[in-house]
Amino acid sequence: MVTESRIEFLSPDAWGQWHTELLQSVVNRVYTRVPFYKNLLDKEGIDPSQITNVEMLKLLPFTTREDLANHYPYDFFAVPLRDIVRIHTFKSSQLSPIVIGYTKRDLEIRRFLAIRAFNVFGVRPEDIVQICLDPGMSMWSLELKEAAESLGALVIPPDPLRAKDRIKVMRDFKTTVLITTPSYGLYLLSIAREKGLGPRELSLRVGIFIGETLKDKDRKELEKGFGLRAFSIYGIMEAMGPVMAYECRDSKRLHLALDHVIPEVIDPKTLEPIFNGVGELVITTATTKANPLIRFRTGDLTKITYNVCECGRTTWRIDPIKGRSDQLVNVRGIKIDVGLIRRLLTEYCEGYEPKFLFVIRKKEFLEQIELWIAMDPQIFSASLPELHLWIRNLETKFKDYIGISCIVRPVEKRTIAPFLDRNKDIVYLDNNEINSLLL
Amino acid sequence: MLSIQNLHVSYGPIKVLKGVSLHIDQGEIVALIGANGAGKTTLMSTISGLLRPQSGEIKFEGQDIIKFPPDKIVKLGISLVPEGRQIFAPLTVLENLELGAYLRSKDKKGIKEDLDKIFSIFPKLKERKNQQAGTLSGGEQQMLAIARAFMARPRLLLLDEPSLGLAPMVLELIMDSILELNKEGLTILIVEQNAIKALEISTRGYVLETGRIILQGSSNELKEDPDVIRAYLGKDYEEITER
Repeated sequence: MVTESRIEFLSPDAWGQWHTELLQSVVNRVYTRVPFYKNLLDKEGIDPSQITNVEMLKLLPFTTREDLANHYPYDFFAVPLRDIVRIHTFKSSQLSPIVIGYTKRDLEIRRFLAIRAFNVFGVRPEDIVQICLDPGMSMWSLELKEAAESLGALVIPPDPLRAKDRIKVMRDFKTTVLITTPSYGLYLLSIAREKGLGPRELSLRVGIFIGETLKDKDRKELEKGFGLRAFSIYGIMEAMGPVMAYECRDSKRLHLALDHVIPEVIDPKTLEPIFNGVGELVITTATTKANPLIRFRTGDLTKITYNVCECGRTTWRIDPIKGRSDQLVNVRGIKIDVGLIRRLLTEYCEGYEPKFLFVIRKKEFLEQIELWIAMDPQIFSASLPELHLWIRNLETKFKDYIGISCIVRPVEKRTIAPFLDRNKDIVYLDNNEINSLLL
Repeated sequence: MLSIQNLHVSYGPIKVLKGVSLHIDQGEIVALIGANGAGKTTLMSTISGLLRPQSGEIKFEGQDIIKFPPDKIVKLGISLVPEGRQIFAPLTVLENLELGAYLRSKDKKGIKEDLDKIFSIFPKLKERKNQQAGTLSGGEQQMLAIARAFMARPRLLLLDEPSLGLAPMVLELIMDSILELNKEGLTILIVEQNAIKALEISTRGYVLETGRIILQGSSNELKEDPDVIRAYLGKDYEEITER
């Protein structure tokens, strides 16, 4: 039953049966209801009854973000629209956006997963939960807010406040639970320190970190500086929501919601399953009704641990995410597709694709993005006001297209050539490196 | 308690079950729902050994029972109440019940105890214990069929369409008695076209559609599932964009 957390303690044998049943029913469902999967399985000559256990997952085709976008709007729906109560839209590198629908039940499951993790973190109805996430992560905020509210906690959702004011609210309203990204958490901590606020002045007890990998060093810093216990959660919005996995009290690996997803790790190049090593996380959402996904490639690199955790839970665990296997870049918890930037530039330059470097710079704990564009006769204008306007317009377009602001810098070709020669169009640089390059 | 994996059953060239997997834990009431012809009765008959599957696995308490004959399966503790009751009409209620305990006819004391238990759950049967079973009403016959299965002291009771042809009032009685038997420690798999009724008394459920399980979950969630409601009301999926 969905409200039970006993299921996380099932024996490995019971998981085998459970997963076989879940996998078969979701494959049967998509085969009869989802045109995309029906066509794909027929093309590959796969009958759903060939899926006799979880190992047979490998017979099934993968689902990518491109597939989702290319089959916009209806081809992925497994239920009639009248059963759907919410639709989320996502940017994609393709011509159409990605659309994911949810039935009432799908949303309940997502909320339940968040509540289950909150319970493990010790979040209680008496708690005051402050969510500080970028507007680009508004969907995450929304779902976490709903979960905390249904627990009965007081929630302060993200408002467009300055960090200084957020700290003020945190102190004056005695926030006990902070939900944010690790980098924004560190930024808030630096502001709190400036104001002379530490564990004694603040009431924080639990920190829930999302969107980025929580590094050990940062975890220690946040726990010490705020006087809280840090937990990280992992999720992807296309499937299962913000809390597909969470850290328990005994392990820094994250427990997967094995009662709702069937996870695998694959080699992103050969696409073969990997059982004991790092690879791309692939998930099958077995209980999802509106848009069940078969072998969805998350693009996140991690490793699955199958043994029983010290806490007694038998759910498989993933390591904190080690990176991406595709061209998506995670900036402050927001996933940015470099392919999309390329398309934007080509569109902006009327078919011409200038050489560019996507620079992610760390500034006061937060990452800022810059787009360095090599000036060449095709786009360069000798008129300074004209060039200025060209840059501003591109920045505006970028914000609209990608959903996050960016600084556009015209640079000489030789500045970025060393990176492009090494096939790198994304680089992480600090202020010193940037200064020495631009001088 | 019972776990089934990848069960394939055919009647001649017609495939009825196409890789069904499900499980029942000790003490549960599990409902199997689906339209006419989905394969529900076939599944029940296969578990009780009346039909031989083409392939698959049926394990009862860890033991593979797929090749066992029906009597051996009853001895292990699985009793079937077939669709349409099939009681012995010329025999009395009591004789029917005693026949149910045929495999343990030497256990006089146990039989007596079970009869008392049955008569407390189904007082109507006590009233009519010397009456010919054929003269009972439909509801009473259904009670008798369930009671007779209970007399074999099963640990798992398979109920095939207990609501068939019963008036709503009588149906309530039958459902209550099923819950009562479950409280006595009996694990129950119930197959029903009357999905809502079955989901009301069960803890979990599976939805069978043309020989395949397409959905499972707690009975509460299934009861509210639009797919289940539609299937029960007989609507289809043609208009996927309709809202």
